[in-house]
Amino acid sequence: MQRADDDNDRVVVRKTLEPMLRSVDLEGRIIDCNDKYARMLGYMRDEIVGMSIFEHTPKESHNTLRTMFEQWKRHESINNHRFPLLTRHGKVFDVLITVGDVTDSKGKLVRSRTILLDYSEVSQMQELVKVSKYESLYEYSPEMYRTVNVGGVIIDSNTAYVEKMGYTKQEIIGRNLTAHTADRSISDVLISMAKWRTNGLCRSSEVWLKTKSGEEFPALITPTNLYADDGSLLGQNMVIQDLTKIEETKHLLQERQEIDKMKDEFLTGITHELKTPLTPIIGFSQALAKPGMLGDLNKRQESAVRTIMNNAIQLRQLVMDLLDIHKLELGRMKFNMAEFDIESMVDGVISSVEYAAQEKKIKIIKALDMTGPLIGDQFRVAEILANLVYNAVDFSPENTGKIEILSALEGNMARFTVRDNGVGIPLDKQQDLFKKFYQVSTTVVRRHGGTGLGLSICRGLAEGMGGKIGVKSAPGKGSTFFFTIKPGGAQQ
Amino acid sequence: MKILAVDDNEDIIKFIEMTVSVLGHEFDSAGGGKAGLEKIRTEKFDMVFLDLSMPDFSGMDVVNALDEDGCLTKQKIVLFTASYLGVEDLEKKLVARGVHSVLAKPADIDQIIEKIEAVESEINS
Repeated sequence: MQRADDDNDRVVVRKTLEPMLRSVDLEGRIIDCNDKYARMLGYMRDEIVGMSIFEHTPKESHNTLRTMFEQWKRHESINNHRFPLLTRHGKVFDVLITVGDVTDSKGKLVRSRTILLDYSEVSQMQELVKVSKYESLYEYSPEMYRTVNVGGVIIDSNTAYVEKMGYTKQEIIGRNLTAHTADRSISDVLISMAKWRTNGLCRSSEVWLKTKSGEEFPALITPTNLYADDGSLLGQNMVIQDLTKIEETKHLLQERQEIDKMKDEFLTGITHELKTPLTPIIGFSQALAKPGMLGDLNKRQESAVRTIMNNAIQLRQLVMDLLDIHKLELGRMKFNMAEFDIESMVDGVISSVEYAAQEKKIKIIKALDMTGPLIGDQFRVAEILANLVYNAVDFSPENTGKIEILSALEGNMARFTVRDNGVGIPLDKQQDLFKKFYQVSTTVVRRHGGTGLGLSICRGLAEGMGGKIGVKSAPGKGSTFFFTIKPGGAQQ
Repeated sequence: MKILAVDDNEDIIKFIEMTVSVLGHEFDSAGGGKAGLEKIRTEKFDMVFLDLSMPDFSGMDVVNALDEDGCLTKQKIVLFTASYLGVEDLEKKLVARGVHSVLAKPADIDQIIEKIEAVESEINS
């Protein structure tokens, strides 16, 4: 809208401001001019040809004209230079003068092509454009405008204000602005108006307005002072922004925060309640399963106790995973940064899966290009790695299974890779792997009983440590999972 | 060693009692924060398992009271809790104030045994 208006304004200016044109030779004689030039100077066009430009210039400006003429001959540019012209009848008027060159085929200056704009026309037009621009800006602005005098009486308002308030313009003009103010804001408005009258200071304020139908809405009012020519305060122009949507959004946001808080409290509470009974369940079942601790069990008893224990541990893992997912989603996961040794971290992971790997006679091979110290959250790095290795054990074949653990420095990132020769994962399933509660195949018996949260937590953890996680795989060709972390943490 | 467990959950008390007695230590318990604080103040324990979330008088109240007494660091208080203490580094802050350590519920029995053995070797050294 604004651009189109601007263009229209320019077209209007161009049409009305038809320029005067004259062409001058190197002696300062007029070779040709247009009708407007002749008319403005009070001559017929034929009479002008052959006249000196000095004849069209008041005496007191002859020196300036001489200087400009020499400038032109030196090819110096003259652009919109304000300069007086003298008419046949001795009248002087200002023009804006722009001199262009006409050269021959060898580039030698032959004559000028001079454009002269009537200065009074220009400034009148500019004023007109300015006023009409402001007027339309005021009247048709999507923002509401109202203008009040020092007494707080509304003396003008724009269409947006009229439409929002529901009054006609006649009903608005002449009313005190308190008539448009909601009761809850009237005293504030009166106080700020009184202050303004004494010190003249304008301040933006949030005020509740009231429409004709009695609907109240919040608005941001930004006033600017209007002064008379003698500098006395006339009133103020107020830009009014309807804050209904902003208030609604604020309200929604608040509600969401409250819901999030409730969810947070619920999750924290429920997981606490789940952990409490799990403590004696896990503790007693482990005590029973521990050889010699509470006496010997027969095979069936021991098997029963181990089943209770394993399921309780799986339940504990689920609770921990839920808490982790929750913390990652809220961005509240804390990473404990410290220097640790990569190789001993990897060794720790290997020993934690050793039992499961040995049961399936799966070989685990360590191929670390990057060893030595790394600054990061050792516990969380090990957690991701253990998850990947556990998965590899689950999906690798018995007896022939082979899992490689690799580490490398890639740019400024530490990269860990777990490669297996297992069943592989079809391409279309690979992206879903890192989603919550996703399990590639329920037909594959999972030994350690996954919660379906493992990889989505791994992704959250890797990203939380400034890295990423990914997979390359194809059915029957094994899988290669990798993750990177930023040494020193995401903030580094 | 003489070990005290302060917890409002009877089954957790029973479990700690079993573990402690299997290891050959003396055991006592309190079912709430107030009773626990009273015992800590009047008797001498080598180690205390302290639950945090208890009605009326919480484990945190016990810690604060002992801190005010100026004897928090003289006790080997192990917070045995299901609460998440990662928020605002609460665990680090508590340890800095003089709590011995934190053990998250539900722990493996081996972790509890290791903790008791660690405190025992600290006392003996």
